[in-house]
Amino acid sequence: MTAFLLYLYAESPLHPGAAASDGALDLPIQREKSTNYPLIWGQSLKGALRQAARDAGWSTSQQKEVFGSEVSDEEESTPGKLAVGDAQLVALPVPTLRRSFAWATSQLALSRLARKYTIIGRGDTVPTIPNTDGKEGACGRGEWGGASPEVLGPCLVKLQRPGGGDNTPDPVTDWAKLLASDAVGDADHLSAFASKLAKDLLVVGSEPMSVLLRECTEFSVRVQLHPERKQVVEGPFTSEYLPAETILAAVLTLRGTPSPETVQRLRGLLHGSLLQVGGDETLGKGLVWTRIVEGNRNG
Amino acid sequence: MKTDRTGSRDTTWVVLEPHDTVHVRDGRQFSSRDSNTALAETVTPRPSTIAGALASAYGGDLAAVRGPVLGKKDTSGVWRPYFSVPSDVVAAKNRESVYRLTVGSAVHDTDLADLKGAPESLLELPPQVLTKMEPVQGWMSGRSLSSYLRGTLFQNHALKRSRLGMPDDEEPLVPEHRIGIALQDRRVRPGYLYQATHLRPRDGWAFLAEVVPPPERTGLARSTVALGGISRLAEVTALPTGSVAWPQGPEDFPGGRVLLYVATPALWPDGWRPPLPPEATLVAAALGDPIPVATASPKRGFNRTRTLRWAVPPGSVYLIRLPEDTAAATAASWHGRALAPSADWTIPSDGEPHPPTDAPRLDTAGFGIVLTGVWT
Repeated sequence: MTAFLLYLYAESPLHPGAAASDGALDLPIQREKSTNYPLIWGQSLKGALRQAARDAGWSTSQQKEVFGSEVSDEEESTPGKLAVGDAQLVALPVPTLRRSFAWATSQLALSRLARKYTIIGRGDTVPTIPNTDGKEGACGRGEWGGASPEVLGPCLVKLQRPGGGDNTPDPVTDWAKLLASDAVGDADHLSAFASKLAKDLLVVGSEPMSVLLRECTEFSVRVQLHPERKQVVEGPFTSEYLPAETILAAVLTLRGTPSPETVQRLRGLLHGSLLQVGGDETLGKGLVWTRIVEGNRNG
Repeated sequence: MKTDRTGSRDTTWVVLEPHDTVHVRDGRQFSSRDSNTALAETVTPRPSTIAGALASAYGGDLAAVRGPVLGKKDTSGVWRPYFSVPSDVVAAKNRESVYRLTVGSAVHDTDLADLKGAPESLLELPPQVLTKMEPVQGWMSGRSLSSYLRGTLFQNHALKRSRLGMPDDEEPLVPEHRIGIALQDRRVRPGYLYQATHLRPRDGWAFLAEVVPPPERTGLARSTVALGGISRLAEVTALPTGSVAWPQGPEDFPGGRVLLYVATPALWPDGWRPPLPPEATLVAAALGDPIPVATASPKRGFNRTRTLRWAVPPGSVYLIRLPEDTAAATAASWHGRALAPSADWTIPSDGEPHPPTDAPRLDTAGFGIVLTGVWT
């Protein structure tokens, strides 16, 4: 059994579509029922990975080995080696009054990410998780925090900076550097965002985070026009998107004893690639940069 | 690991923590919700699902699995078991007081009298209670269940709901409805739209089970295993000895009055009626609605071994009368185990039949675990 951590970094807004409308919102994104955190269902992500394999020219047998057989009325389905977990939210970009935007994360999101690192056998590499439950938040010893609360989306949040000197613990900055390295990377086209993430990660308490999760997604009202009369024939209907620069993570597990070639093929497909996930592909939505964090565990 | 109460085997409690959601279908066909969407019924993982996952974790079939029950990790990191609220605990809607049913009039004036193996009596509300009541649904802590079994939880058959030891947050397993599609040429394939419900354990909740590994395989072979459908994974961890245990029952059973509490779904030869020894008298019973249980063995042939049965739900209780001089010993032999004869299939004694090799080993897969208590 070989496990990876797959990071998704949104290049364009994402629309992993939910099962049903949500009040006035016709096409909401997928969210966890218990926490309201956005996510991408494992089944949706697996379908996107399979499509990427098709587009990359994998043979039918290679696809079947990793992803299982295609659905068919004639043949009994066979499972593939790859198990794809839900891609859960790591950090959400939120508008701020300075530095344009920052990434909001939470104790819950970081705890889950730490758990994913543990699952792949890398739990000893993650920083401690700041205790920010409640109304306030925490930031690193850098650009944020101070006497006045910070404006995060519609929220005013007091951010605690770590005390002590430069040699004392700074867990938020440690997390920010880990994410900049593992989730974004140092490729030329993303290095500016990695540098920004290393400075602009904020760990927000559960109360403001619940507001940000609802208010800082994007909403788009769409209509369909008659091709000649130019009158509205369908709509309006409202779609929800996760904004660009959102970071999510999922655990991928190759079960059994996959061949080194299979592992390498999957790694090549998903490390440093641009992937299409979710709906509205023809509108330019759903592009994500992917990065793999190697696991360190067998069995 | 500790020595089994029977002295025959060592047992270990394990925790199964799903990576994210759990998806276990109840074995019935997809139903058509509307003209375009198929609907899959989803259930909490049954014992056979848990036993299958644990067999994978231990590298082969286990001598026995007892569970699952729900577990919650407390602030000190210790897992605490939770159990279905007994079916004889009832309450009025939105009322704080809960009541325990009591043995009432004889069944001979009712339709039950015609039922083979019918109990002697009905369970009724305490005389002072006149309001319409419903069974309390949900989970209660092992500590509260232990108090219930020992007959000390209720005073005059009444109790404040807050003392039941139910979790503060809402349902530990939160249903999530998900739509599934199949793509063809980058479009949704016609006719391949379905809706399935996943269950997401709230943070800190997981499944617990007691396992009896065979002597040659006492340790975990792997810790990440598939749990349920669509390649959902879970982490299996063996827990420190003594950190989790079945709720303790009483040591004395005045008048030979033994209460049998069903901790895991029970599949018994006589359906709803537990396999009792001839000297036992079934006085009364409170059962929940039967639950569907599907099992299949991919190793022995999925279609050949696939079965769908109806099980007695966890939380059901039976009030039994045994000879007073043997009641304590009999209750002790039942407590925390599957009722005989199924339990005996695990380790056949000399002269006892071995289970048919082709039969699903439901008896060793955690079905029908009972706890014993007293009733008044």
